[in-house]
Amino acid sequence: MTAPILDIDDLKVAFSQGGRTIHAVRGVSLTLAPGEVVGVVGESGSGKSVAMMSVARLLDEKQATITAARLDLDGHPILGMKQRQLEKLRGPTVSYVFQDPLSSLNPVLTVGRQISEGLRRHRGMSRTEAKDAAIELLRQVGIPAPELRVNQHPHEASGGMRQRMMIAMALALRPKLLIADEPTTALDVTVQADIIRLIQQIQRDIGMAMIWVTHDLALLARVAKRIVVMYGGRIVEDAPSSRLYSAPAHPYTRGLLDSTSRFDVSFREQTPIPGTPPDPSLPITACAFAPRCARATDICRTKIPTLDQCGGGQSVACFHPLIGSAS
Amino acid sequence: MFRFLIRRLAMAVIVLLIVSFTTFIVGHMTGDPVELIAPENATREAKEQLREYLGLNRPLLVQYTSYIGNALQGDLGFSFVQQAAVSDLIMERLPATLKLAFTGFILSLVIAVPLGIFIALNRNSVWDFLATSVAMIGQSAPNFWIGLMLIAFFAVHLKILPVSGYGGVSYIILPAITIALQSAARLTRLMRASMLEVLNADYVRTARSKGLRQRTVLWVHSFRNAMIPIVTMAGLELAELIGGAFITETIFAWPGVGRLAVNAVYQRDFPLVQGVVLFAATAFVVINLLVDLLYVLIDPRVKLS
Amino acid sequence: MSVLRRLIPGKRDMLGTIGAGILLFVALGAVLAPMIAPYDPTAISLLDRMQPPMWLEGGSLAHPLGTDNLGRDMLSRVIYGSRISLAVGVAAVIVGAAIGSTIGIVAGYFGGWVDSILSVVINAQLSFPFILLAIFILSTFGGGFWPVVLVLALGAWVNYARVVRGTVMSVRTQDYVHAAISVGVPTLRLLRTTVLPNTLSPIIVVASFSMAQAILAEAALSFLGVGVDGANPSWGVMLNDGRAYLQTAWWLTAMPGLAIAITVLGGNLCGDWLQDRFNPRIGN
Repeated sequence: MTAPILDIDDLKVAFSQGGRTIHAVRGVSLTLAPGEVVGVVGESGSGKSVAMMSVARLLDEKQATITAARLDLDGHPILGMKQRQLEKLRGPTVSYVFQDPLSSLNPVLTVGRQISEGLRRHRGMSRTEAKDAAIELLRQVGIPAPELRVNQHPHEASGGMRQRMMIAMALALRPKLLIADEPTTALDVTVQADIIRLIQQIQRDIGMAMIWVTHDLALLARVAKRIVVMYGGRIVEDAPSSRLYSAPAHPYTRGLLDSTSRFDVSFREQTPIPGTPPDPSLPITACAFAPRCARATDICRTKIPTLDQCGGGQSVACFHPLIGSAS
Repeated sequence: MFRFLIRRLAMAVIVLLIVSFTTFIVGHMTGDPVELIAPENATREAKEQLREYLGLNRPLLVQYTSYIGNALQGDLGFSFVQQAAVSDLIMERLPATLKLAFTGFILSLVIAVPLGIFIALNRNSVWDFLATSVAMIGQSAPNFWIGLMLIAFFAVHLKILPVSGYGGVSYIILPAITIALQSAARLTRLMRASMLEVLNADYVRTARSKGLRQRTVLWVHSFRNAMIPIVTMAGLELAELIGGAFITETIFAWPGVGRLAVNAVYQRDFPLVQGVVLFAATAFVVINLLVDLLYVLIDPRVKLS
Repeated sequence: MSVLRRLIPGKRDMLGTIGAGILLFVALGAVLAPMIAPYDPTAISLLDRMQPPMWLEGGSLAHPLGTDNLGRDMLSRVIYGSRISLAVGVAAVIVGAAIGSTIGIVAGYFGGWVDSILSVVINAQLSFPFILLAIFILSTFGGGFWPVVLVLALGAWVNYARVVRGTVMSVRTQDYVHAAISVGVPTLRLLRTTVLPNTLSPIIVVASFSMAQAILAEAALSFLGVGVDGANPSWGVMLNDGRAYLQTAWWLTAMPGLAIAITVLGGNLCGDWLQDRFNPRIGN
């Protein structure tokens, strides 16, 4: 097996301010091979975005404390890395597409400027070279009249166009790993499918590894071969997508699937999971899902389950997984 | 963009009309100018003659129209108390006011912008706490009181600066600091808040995710956005200063428009008060128009509205 | 991320508590003045004149903040002075809020030309040199408590009108208001039941700041000689009186100014805190 592009072991992220500590990520381990596409799913507050932001150390480190047994990006341990070295990895090695393209693009700079500055920084291109490259990138992401768009500002484009610009920017340096954090959530339903197709197509062209972060399990069915489910700052299930959809092992995954309206399964009434997510300011001593879980027993309330293999490339952190028992 | 400016221009004209009309009406409610000008023993016929000579017997609206007509040609009326044209009196005092206004204003910007950025970058540090506290207190203390305390300390106690008056560089230091402190207190807090908001903005995270250098993220991606609210506020501050720092000029016996106006009020020199009000309002409106123009340069989104 | 940030409590709560504490302290001082002031603030004692505060040479515990040019006790005068300054502040806030909110509600609710007029008037008012206009009015028509309050309210109402207008406009577009209009709920009742409750928090925020502004402005007006006269001088009047003795007795100026600064600080801290709490986006 080739060296992983991303190797995370026991990642923890805590925010502290005003004497309170918010444990956003409470021990996440994830390994990604080059070219692999993984989906990370979870409710808001599950720590999925924070965990992925930690990969390039994009969090405000005045507030966030990141610890991990290992956090290697393309073989480089990024914790403790100097700012200058880190900057060299951001862009060519790991790149991001964020949720809201309007707020994620700088309103006072032209689109061309924002696409080309990464090229100038990392490839040492001249202003004109970088601008030509930006035009070419805009063309590749399907923006009409890129020669005009390149001189425009983000507010002059539509939501879908802006996300295409964002994608062009993220792909400018052909990164080895692309992290797309809810890339379609802020968009109209009509353009969501286009954007998903565009990202997929480019991923295949470049052959880069990719992480889709979303709260929408239905979306991942189409794009990811492997899905990681997060709850309360931890991974509760990690499985090939075919298996996750047909035989989810964690009761929470089951709950997520049930609350997602799917037409390929029978018409089932949407059943949201009862209860509320765990309080991130409290330490955990047990299974975080236990208070909302119908299968919970005493052990679930006293011990923290570990993420263990349960066959077929599937791992689950549960004392009473749905596999093997009648469900 | 053109429509935006036209609309602002129209608003400016309307505003000036309202200001001038209000002052005009208030002025007419305050008493008969003839009684003020005429000698006490003047006969009724003499007063009537004077009234007719001054055009004060015409309908109010006619008087107002002719006042505006004259004002447009730079004639703001005649001060009977000072026996001089109002516009001449203002022009004579304007250089002192401009000198003080710009010195104070630049001093305030020089303090506030770097300090605000610095404490935003080092938020929750000791420096942040100190600067924010001082700014908060500075914003709460009456600035004429700060001026007096500066006089008490530097001029009376240490005797290193003159108490008041107009002359060499030493005379401008205390009044300029008085003006700058209050303005800097406001601007520092705004600069800090604005910078913090921008540093937390999604586009700054995007810029960092591209691997740009920290100084590029700071100066190219953050600074310009953070300055947008500062420009508005600084414009308002400057506009107010140019209209006359009434109290500061009075305390320091600074021969500017502000002190001229305060004295005019006490002397019931109505044409002069009216002239200064109109002048100050015009300065305010013009500077705000300039700020709007500046906006078009720094914030491309403005072109849409 | 933003959700996270909102979960974390700031140090604002502490500062807000300090601000409220200051205001309460000053208010108590004003109410209980006759009981806590060591001397009659108007009692002249020429033998004791110009005594410095107790921590300076020549000062004594008998007059902790010193005495003025007529030998009156500065501490007692500052305590009594709070009565005028606070009363002016509170009255100006009430009058200004009443005028401004009403205009803001009308403009925000009915929109159209009513609203256009308001925005022109607000612009005009902002370009007026307020202090000059205030001293002009007061020196022409005479000063005193109510004239000063009215003039201050005249300067402050736009702030209320602006935020109330904004809130009302956003409330008006809410679905439940549309629904209420469509089923024919009378306008006045609609204003009372849906619009007014929503405008309350921005009004409180503005009130807090404008109370501080009113106290500052009252001091400025008194300083220029057109403020509230009376047996009990306000802080601004004391400042103006003390100014003549700046060369020899700086504390006559320093003490009332300090009292103003502390009280205004209380109002500003409260305002900041409330604004954080309610976040009505003042301005714009």
